[in-house]
Amino acid sequence: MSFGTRRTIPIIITFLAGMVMFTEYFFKVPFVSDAATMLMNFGIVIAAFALGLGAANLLIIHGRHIRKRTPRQWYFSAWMFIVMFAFIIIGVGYTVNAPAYVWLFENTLTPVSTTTYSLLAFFIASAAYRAFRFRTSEGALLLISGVILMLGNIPIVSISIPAIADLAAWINRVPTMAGLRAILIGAAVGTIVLGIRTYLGQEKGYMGGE
Amino acid sequence: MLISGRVSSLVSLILIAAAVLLMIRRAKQGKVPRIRRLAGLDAIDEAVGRATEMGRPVHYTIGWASGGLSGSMAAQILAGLSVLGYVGELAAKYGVKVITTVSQPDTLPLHEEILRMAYQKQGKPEALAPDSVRFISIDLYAYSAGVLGEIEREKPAANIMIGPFWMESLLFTEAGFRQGSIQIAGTARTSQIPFFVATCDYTLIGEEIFAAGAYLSKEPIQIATIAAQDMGKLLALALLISGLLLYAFGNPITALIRI
Repeated sequence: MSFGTRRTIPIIITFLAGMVMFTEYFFKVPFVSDAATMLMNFGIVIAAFALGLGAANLLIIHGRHIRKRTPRQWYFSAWMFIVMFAFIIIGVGYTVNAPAYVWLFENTLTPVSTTTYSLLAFFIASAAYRAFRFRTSEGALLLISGVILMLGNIPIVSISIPAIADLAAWINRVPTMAGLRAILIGAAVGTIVLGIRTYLGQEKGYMGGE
Repeated sequence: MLISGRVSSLVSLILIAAAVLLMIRRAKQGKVPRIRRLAGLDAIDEAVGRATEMGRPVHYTIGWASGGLSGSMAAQILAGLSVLGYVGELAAKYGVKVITTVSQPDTLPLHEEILRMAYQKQGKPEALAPDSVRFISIDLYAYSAGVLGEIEREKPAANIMIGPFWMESLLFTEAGFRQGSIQIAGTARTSQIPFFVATCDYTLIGEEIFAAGAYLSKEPIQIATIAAQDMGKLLALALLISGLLLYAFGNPITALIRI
């Protein structure tokens, strides 16, 4: 397939699929709704196939690490293989509702996920330490508003000095909300323009540029 | 038959589309608008250059989004992928290894194709490392832990993250900070923007990520669409002010705007 054709066909498919979804969203046309449902089902099926590709990618990359005994990596790769196949064998052999699978899930994935999430507490503290520095006027503003918000969220402070809690609530309600809405409006317009650019075949970055 | 409650959305869409077409037409006539510089995107060259000098890789990720390309974050995913092509070209040009970590399996072939094309454009298809695109996991926490490990082991000199991000945003930027990476991040998810602003060297905020692909392409027609984006914002601003005034004066026209 030539370079041009390889670009043109996806652009045509993107445009047609986009037009179907656009019509389905704004107009009541029964056969278009059916077409849109079909397209969305296509998406689900393609995503399911892509998950297989993901698994293949994992096996190739980590298999290579094990073969080459990559320093600081290969034993993690080996462990990944063990866990992955344990989940696959138990899940396929006994179904995902079987006690063995549920036990494995609740005693490995759930605590590890919670641990990963809890890292945020420490990372927020270290990020805040670096960000809240009185170096520039913006930094000072961030520091002051951050301190007020933190104090406002401490029960003993908000009970003993209600003005701080009120000020914290005001910061959240007025300046923060105003800024967030401005960002949201800009992002919404940006999304629309990106969509139009994509449908017109002008956005080529996701296909590897020119 | 138009679906009720979506008329004003359709009108807004038509107006913005008209602005895009108008600006494209003007660009074709040679009238290319000037747009402001985006420091975050300009810094990508510097970041990849730094990675070249240090002999360390560039890490790129578009983050995690449920639903992948079929979900509500698809636009941000596409925006992130648009920048990947540019990063890939620079990496190919300077001979730096680029590592992309992937969470949405439906974007995996896109990652591979974009990087393959980028290296091909630089005439170095053989230089693309076979393990450049690394699928981590579809699960947010597994993906986060996996990327943390990749950053710790690979020690990237540049950490570029553009797309939809959730709680993993801060985990990745802190891991990047520990490795001394120059960090460029961008998202339109308002809950994650503060983390990026606080921890990264450069941040693309909201709409800037959607303009990134066009900005980096430097093509007049694409640049023109960024100007159309600004016209859309002006339209939103005009609607906002007129709505505010109408509401303040208790004008019944406000009821009509709700159609």
